[in-house]
Amino acid sequence: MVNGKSMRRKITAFDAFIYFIAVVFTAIVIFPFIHLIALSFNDGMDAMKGGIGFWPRKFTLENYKIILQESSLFRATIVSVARTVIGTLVPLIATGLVAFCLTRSDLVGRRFYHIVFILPMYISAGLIPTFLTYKAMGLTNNFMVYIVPNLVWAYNIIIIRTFFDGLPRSLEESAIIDGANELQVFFRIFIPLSMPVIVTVGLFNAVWQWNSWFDTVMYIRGNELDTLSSLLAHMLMEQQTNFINDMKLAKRAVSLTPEVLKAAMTIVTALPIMLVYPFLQKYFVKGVMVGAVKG
Amino acid sequence: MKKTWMKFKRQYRLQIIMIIMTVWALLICYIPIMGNVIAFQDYSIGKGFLHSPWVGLRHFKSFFTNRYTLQLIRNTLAMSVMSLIFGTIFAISLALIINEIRSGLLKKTVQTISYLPHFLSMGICANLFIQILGRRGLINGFLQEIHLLDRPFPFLETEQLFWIIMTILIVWKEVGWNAIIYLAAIAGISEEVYEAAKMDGAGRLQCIFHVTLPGIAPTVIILAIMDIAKIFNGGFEQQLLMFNPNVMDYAEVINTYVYKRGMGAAEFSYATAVGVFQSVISILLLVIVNRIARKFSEVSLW
Repeated sequence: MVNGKSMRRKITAFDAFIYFIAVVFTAIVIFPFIHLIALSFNDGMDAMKGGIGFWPRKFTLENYKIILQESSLFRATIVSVARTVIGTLVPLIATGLVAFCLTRSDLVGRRFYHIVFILPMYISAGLIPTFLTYKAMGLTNNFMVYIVPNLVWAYNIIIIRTFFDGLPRSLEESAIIDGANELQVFFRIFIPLSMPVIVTVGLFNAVWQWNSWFDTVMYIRGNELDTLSSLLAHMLMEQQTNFINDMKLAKRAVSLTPEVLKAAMTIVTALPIMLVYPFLQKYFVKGVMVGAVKG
Repeated sequence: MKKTWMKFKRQYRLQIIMIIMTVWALLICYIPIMGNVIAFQDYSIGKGFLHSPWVGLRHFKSFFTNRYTLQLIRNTLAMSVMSLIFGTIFAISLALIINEIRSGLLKKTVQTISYLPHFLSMGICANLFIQILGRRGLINGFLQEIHLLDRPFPFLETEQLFWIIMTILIVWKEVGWNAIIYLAAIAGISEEVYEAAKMDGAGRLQCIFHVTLPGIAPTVIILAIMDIAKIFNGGFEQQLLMFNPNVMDYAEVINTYVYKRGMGAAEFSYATAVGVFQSVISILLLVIVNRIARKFSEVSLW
């Protein structure tokens, strides 16, 4: 028997085959992005001729300049950031509190509350009744529609509660003897001890908030509350949006075409996620493992 | 009773939080579920669901007799089943390949890159595909370069290709993410089983087929059960974003239809009825598939 640790194995044909497939697969994932980046740095009229591969042919920063000067895009960026920050922090506190309450074995009505918060994972209401209810409650055309419906997700409760269940009871007991109430226990003991799971759930929520676009399309009329993701979706769905025409006229950018503009928009929208991705992807995997074990 | 009340009073801080959040759940989750009654009404916003007239199953009947209904169901099932089958096959294959990579660094790199698209919005991924498959896109450019085509081929406007493109998009976006769970299942297989197989003279390929694949079979079955229950509910964002009139007959799925009839045409009751029908079928599917799984193996959801 060959011991893998003490002897260097030679690369077999099987290994070579595995490596080959792995490299091809990686290329298939990455190359579309490189192509789009190349396109976004290419002159619009020149790109019309086609044949842009993985490097711009006629390099220009014009597309990005125009996008970054566009006021509707600036506003969308602000809304995106606001939605991501508020829509991550507030639900984290709400979800943490609910999960905390559900871990208290002496909570009166615990079984009832448990059903109330876990059941929505299995039944959802459907598009139209949800829309009509939110409309009746004044959530449509309101920034709050990004926050309020996403306050508590059953899946996140399960993940956080699982973590809370694993915390040692002794710290909590000594705090209670010292006269701390339940909320102090939560904020001073549970939160600091649970940073790994809080970061994981927070990241999931932040990415989800940043990427969401359909709720904007569904609940928001007009463009005041558009986000970067919803602008991109509008551009794709309406093929040629007024947005592009407005920008063209205002800036007299003759060589601007929808293709390169969409490419630049896509890169701008993807950039924040791409930037945090390498540092934070390990949390994502941990999160999905916890969910898989429990869910 | 009095004891419970004392306990309740003592934990009033927690109870206030839970009562507020229960009211939230009622408003955000449960009232919309009850709102599905408008499927049996002729709902108008002015009258609300308390005063709109009841019409029984009229909207359901009109959906079943609609000549587009079969087409919708066909499109939904076709795209769901194609992504389910190819998605599972590719995710398992990717997990097996990543598992066989000897170099730790390469293993980690491949895995990290593989689930990048999962974290990007469907708009970004759809636009990548639109740019690559478009008339002036990468693929057309390449095919013309090597003289396989003398004119750009309209991939995105060809209705026969729409299902395939949707399947490739979903598999490309989610394969790395879905592989994580299979990798976890592979990691759970005991090393002793591999050792025993090697003692019997099994090569790496034989180990894959006789140890790894049987080892992850329960995971595959559980995930398949959950996915099959969702096939009637499949597809939405990608079909909405990559829709164009040329592929209409193959691109419309139940979800996009509900959205367009409900929001576009403001036929709230009709669209809700279609949604209710869809949910009922999904629940039935879950029960049936689970029963079949329990009959033929020890694995089931409940």
